[in-house]
Amino acid sequence: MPPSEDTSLTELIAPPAGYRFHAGIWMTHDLDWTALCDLVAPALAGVTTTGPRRIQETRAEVHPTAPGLVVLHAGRDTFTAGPVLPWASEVAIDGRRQHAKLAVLQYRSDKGQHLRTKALVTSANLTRLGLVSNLEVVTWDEIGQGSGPFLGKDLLTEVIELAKRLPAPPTPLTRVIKALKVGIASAKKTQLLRSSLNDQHSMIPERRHYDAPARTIVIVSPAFAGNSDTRAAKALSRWCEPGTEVHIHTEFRGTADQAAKGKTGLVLSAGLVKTLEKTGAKVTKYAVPTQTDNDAPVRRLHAKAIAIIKQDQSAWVLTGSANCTGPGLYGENRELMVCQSATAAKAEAIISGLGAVPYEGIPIPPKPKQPKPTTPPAPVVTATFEIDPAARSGERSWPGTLTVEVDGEHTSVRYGSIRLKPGTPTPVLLDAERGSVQVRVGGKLHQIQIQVEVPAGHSDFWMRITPEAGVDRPDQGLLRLLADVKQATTAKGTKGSKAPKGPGVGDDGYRIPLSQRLVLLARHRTALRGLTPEEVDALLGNYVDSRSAHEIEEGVRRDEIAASRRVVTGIHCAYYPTTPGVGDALFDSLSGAVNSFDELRDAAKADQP
Amino acid sequence: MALRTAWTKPIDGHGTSTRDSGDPLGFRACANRLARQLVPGLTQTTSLSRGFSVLCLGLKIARSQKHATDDETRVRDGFLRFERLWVAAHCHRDGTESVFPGKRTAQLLLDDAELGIHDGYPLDRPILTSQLSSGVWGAYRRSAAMFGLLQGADAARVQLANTKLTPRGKKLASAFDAAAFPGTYPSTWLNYPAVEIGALDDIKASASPPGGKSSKEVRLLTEGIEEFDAFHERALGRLRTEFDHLGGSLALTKIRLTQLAPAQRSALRLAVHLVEAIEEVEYPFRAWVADETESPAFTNSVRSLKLWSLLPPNEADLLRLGNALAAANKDQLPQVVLRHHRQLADARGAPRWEPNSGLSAAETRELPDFTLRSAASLFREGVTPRAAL
Repeated sequence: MPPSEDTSLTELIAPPAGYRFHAGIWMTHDLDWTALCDLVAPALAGVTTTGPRRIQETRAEVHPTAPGLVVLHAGRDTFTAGPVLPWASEVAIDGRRQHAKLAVLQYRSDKGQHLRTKALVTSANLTRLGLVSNLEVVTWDEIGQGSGPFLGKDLLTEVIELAKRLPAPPTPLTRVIKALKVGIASAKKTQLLRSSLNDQHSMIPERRHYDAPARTIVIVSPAFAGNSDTRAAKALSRWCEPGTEVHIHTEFRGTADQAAKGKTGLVLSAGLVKTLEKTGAKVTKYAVPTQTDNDAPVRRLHAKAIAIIKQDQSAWVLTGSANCTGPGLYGENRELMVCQSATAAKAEAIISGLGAVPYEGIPIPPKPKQPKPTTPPAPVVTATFEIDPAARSGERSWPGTLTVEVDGEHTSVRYGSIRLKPGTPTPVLLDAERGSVQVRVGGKLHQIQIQVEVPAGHSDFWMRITPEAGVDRPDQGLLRLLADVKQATTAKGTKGSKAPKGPGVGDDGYRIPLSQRLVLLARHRTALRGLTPEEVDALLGNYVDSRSAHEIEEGVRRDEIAASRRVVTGIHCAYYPTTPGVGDALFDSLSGAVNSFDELRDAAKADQP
Repeated sequence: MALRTAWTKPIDGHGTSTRDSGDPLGFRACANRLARQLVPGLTQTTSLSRGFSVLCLGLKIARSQKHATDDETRVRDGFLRFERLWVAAHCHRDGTESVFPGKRTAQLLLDDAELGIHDGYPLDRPILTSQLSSGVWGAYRRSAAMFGLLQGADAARVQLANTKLTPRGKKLASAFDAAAFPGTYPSTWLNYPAVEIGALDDIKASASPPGGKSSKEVRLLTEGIEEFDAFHERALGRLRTEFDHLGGSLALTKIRLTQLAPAQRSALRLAVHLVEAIEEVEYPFRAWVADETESPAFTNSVRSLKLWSLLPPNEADLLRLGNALAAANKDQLPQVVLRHHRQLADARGAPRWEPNSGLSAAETRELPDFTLRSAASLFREGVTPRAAL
């Protein structure tokens, strides 16, 4: 179980090269449909366009016959409706609170003969905060059509059981499940999942009679337990004894410096701490700061993880959706945690990635209000809109007929200000940005995304968008690289110090993520043409090699960085003949090849009308 | 593949369009409507008289290219290239003090051209994402149509190839051409991929027409505004009078109500109280969302703000908020405001602002200016519509 470099969900779900998204299930507690349309759907579809065309291209990119994406959520006021996205639908899960967060996503190769499936279990909701700024945790797996263990098999088994228990599983969900089953038919379960998706089940592994108590228990969680909550601690207490150390990592509203000084800003349940201490365990609080400095954007801690480190230096590491609360850890909510075995060193390496500091200050008691553990049943609603054949996909609204079916008591059904009669097709002008109907049941409002159907015989409806003129498509990659090159070649030595974060910057203060820098330098290699050897040296030190002084000393990624440096120097040699050669025949050939590549490109451009 | 586990990193949301308009309670939408009554014809982005000049000359040149008639792509391409040429020349002249949209990218491209990364300043590189809608064309074309400079440009969807200059628009284009491009022919550059840096020196790219009030460009723009103003009770002329009276500014609370047209008067009255409501209701809500306070600091007076009694019936969202606040006791005020915000956000399909979420968008505190800043900027350049003829 190696700790991985920090990642983002949108990076993880991007299609592998040569593949397109085909079918998927996503489960979340909170669902913000606009965030789905702005962030998740474009990532799945491989769309990088910005501006108004982004949603249009996203709608067009998934094949109309593909099963698409189904998102299951907790319903009611955890769901915010949004724009029309024809290949995605949502299903509210009532009963026990739906708190699990997972995704199983299938991609097909361009000719359809190969499949790849990704599975992830995370703490992040499908909301803008969860995807963009919160500090979350994610565990993921990927498989082709092989027969090995695959986390997605465990997840799909749980989802299939959940679907069976729904009063009327919607057709999109059934289609998606069928497609996913085919894709991982040969795979085996990993048996690493702890799930209360269908039946209540504790998230904490049982301590068997031959298991020694834990040496250390590490808890990472937002402070959602009530101040008098003792149940979360009781769920963990089976592993505690005098001598056990419990490290509670939770959010501190401020910087690491302020936390280290014990300033006010850490919320924590006194009940949790006292109950753990009653077992004889020693409890230490760790503050995960929300800011790197006073002017930095705030990152809320939303990740949930538990590490049970045993005296024999083995460990369980659990990551997923369950907060350190009674309903979470006892599985009263629908939760999912992946429970992996690891060494103590690896478990500690993962936790150290949080950047937490010991906290000696006085915690603030949490607010008394707790969410209810169950969601009451809502009427089953299907809303379907048939677009008029005369409509065009690039328009901001479409004429057509909206039909809503409601099974259950309700007070009113509306689309905006238009009152709808269930079962009666109603002509409306559907706003592309407002893709939901509102169903009122007494004092409660439910929103349901409308399933939009293209006119019969127009299966390519969404793909018929006006091609964008080349002049209006900016070469974002080059512009970002040029900004980075300028910054890197003029920066003074910054090893070991954190570069400022802000809008438009990514890894260590630069615009282009580390994983893409070498590719973009090669692609836009003429950007190196005007640099002197000294400037290239600064670029290599500040940009290609992002290791800290400590990592350099330890030789972390030495070979990889050395190879990257030789590539960049080799390219620069092509433009700056007086650069000292790299002394490696392979990379000297690279320098010669660069000139040939440039000539070919220029010749191709000259041939264009 | 072995399971992998990682913490997530923040992403910059680059390229995502958020429907979050920064108007969590609906006050800003009301401010925009009031601005249209108080300062008709202008918008937040029409603050430069030369914006109108660039639009007119750009359209003239783009439409006059060979084989461009009825070819929307060619006309657009020509217009955008001219705009890039102008902004490049302007940035080359004024550097960090340049004011035209696209200046940041233009400056970067100028720097790269000077470093030799490009051969000259590239005219095929956009200076804005969606340059047509977010540059001079998008910013100025509706007002230009209203001021009688363009024909066929005030619909929601407009084709440049079908948009013509009126006689006044043609005169403005010629005046600008003569003042800014003496001895050069800007249309010739449109056929080249790049323009030499030295050639940018020949363009007199000042932000404002030299000569101010007496320049031909400003006089033509003033004429167009006066003609428009005649159908709007001389609203802009009255504001010009107030601008002079106040010594060169248009502070909201200092404008004399008695000098304004009736529609402007009621808009101004409402605007003053709207600002009060923003400070009393929206700002504490923002502080609550931005996690600057544990709970919002609403005073009891928000229940009886003057705004609620002045709002016209078409301001349904704010009227609903006012009624809900009036019916609530002090402890209920936060939930009333939060519920109102959520209803608005859901109706728009915008993300909800959650209390104590630390959302950075909630940290801004900027009062609406009701387009008075644009008006004042044009008046400072010498645009002088008269209140009475």
